[in-house]
Amino acid sequence: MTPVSDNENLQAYFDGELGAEERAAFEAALAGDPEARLNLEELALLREAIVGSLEAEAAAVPEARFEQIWDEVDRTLDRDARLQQAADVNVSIWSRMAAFFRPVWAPTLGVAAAAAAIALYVGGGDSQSPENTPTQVASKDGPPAEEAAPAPKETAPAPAPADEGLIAAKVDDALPANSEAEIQRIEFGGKTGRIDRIESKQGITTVIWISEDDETTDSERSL
Amino acid sequence: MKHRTTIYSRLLAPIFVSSLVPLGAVAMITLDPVEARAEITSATCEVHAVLAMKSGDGTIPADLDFLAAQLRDDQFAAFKSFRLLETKSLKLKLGETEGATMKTGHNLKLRLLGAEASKLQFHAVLASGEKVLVDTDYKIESNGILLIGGVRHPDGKVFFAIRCRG
Repeated sequence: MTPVSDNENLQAYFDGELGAEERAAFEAALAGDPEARLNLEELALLREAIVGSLEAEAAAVPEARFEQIWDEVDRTLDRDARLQQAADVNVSIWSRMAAFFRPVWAPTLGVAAAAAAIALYVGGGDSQSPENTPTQVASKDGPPAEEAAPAPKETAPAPAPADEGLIAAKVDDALPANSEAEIQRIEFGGKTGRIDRIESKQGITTVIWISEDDETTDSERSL
Repeated sequence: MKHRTTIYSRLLAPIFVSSLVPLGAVAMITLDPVEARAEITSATCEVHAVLAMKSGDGTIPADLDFLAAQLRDDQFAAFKSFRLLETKSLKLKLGETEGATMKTGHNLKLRLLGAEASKLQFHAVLASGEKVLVDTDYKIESNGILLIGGVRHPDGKVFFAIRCRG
């Protein structure tokens, strides 16, 4: 016989942890004990209140926050995969080149030596007459046409000086095609830190995030 | 048949190389010698201190246009406004360290370690007083931007944008 007044048994019954026999005995005893039934109802109300509160709290977190968290996870995975892929590619290219040239080192060196001798001979001739170099460049068909192109611009109506400065500043602000920094070594002074990247229309920008020692985490981003 | 294949495979690589090497030599000769031998021995760097704040209307001021795309990224979504606190310029010579002490109390030391193709290689140390926050070596294209940030400030977080040209 399970005493109804035993609070531990009441809690176990409420949580569904009693065995079949104990449960049957407890329910029989419960039928004759209004105080125990009242306690049981209070437990049910308490559970409902707690679960409701947690659900309300979860509903209050905007969907965008979850999306940000998943974006962060995706970015981290993508970055790791890219780094690994880049490392593999770098190794494989050199390995393949080494493997390709390994059987032909001797003939390659011979041909390279001959080519170097030719280069020195021709280069030496140029160095003896350095004044010919600009003439040679200027006499090429392609470059003079390109170099001559700005001349008509000078004769055209000149833009206002302020515009020129603005254009220069805009060109100056343009990021290079591949602006991602290659972090070769890094040591953080604090306990943590991370390297991230921003992809935009301008290109890729590397961001080094620093977390200071006694800093408390107040964002879902700090996963 | 197998014998012929072996001879071809043995001859293929030397023939290929012997055709490439003279081409390379000719290409080197035809290049402008000054450009071919040019080496980067100095760089001009700008260090921008940017304050990111959690309040504001989200607009990015005109003096931060060069960072607008980066600051609009969702990594900065927690911040609602940005302000350029200060910009300092550094002229670096190869192997020499220059420092910029910012109004925020942070000190950034930069050293030009070298250059490879169009990339510049730097050693950077960001410190707050005596405490080193980050110490790194990195390579970046000339005119590329490296952002270092998230350091505390009474009004938010401070980020440093380092942009160098060689």
